[in-house]
Amino acid sequence: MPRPSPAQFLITLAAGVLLVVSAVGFIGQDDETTPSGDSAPGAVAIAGFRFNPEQITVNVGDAVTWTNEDEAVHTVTTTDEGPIDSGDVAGGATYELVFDEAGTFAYICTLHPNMDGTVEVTDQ
Amino acid sequence: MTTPTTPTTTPMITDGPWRLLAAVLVLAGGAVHVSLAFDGYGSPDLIDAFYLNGAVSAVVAAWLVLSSGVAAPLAGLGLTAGSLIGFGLSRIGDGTLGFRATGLDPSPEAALTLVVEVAALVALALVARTAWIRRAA
Repeated sequence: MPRPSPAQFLITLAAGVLLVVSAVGFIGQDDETTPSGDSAPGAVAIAGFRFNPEQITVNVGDAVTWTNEDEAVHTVTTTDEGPIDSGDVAGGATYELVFDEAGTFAYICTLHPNMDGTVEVTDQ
Repeated sequence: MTTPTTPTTTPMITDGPWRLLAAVLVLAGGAVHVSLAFDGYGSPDLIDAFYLNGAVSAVVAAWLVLSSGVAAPLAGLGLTAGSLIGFGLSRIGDGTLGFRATGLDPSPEAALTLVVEVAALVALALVARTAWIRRAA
């Protein structure tokens, strides 16, 4: 086999690095972005491009806090009429809203509309 | 006394520079996908697919520069076309792999991926064509 040129060598080296990085990234994936099963009342985690829990029930006057545990920016935005409108929530940031009216509010992340959730506010 | 003979030669068709360029572009596309995976961008299945894209890109890029055949550019074409199809599928209907993206989000990775992969398609097609002609000659 002919000796590789410097360009061939560099590209092969870079390919090797990318292969190792891909493998390490794949194997090293932990559950950091996987929402844990339990969450505090009124707390919604945004992790792994999902809201967890997707449905939450609170009383009128309660606050709900969304915490973006992803690196990516997300929003928390009601799909119809509703009070939820976080704007951009950067990675690590939180958005809190106190619900002062009863109702069921469906919301999505407008940047990633496959992410959806619902807040049910009961009047007790 | 022997008369020196001029060796008959087939005109050398070289695709070296294009092959190197194609390899660099394939590598770049894979690197962008791995970068997105490290950033946690996407559903779990999509992130797995990004890592797979990076690994396959690395293999194809090395194969491109270490061989002169037509198989490597054809593999690169398949990889790049598949990646672009995935890009499109993630932006229509319910998306793909549990994830739907919008427009050129994330920025600048989405636009960068488009440019790099379209350029890779062109370079790979040229390399494949040249390799095919050389093989047939």
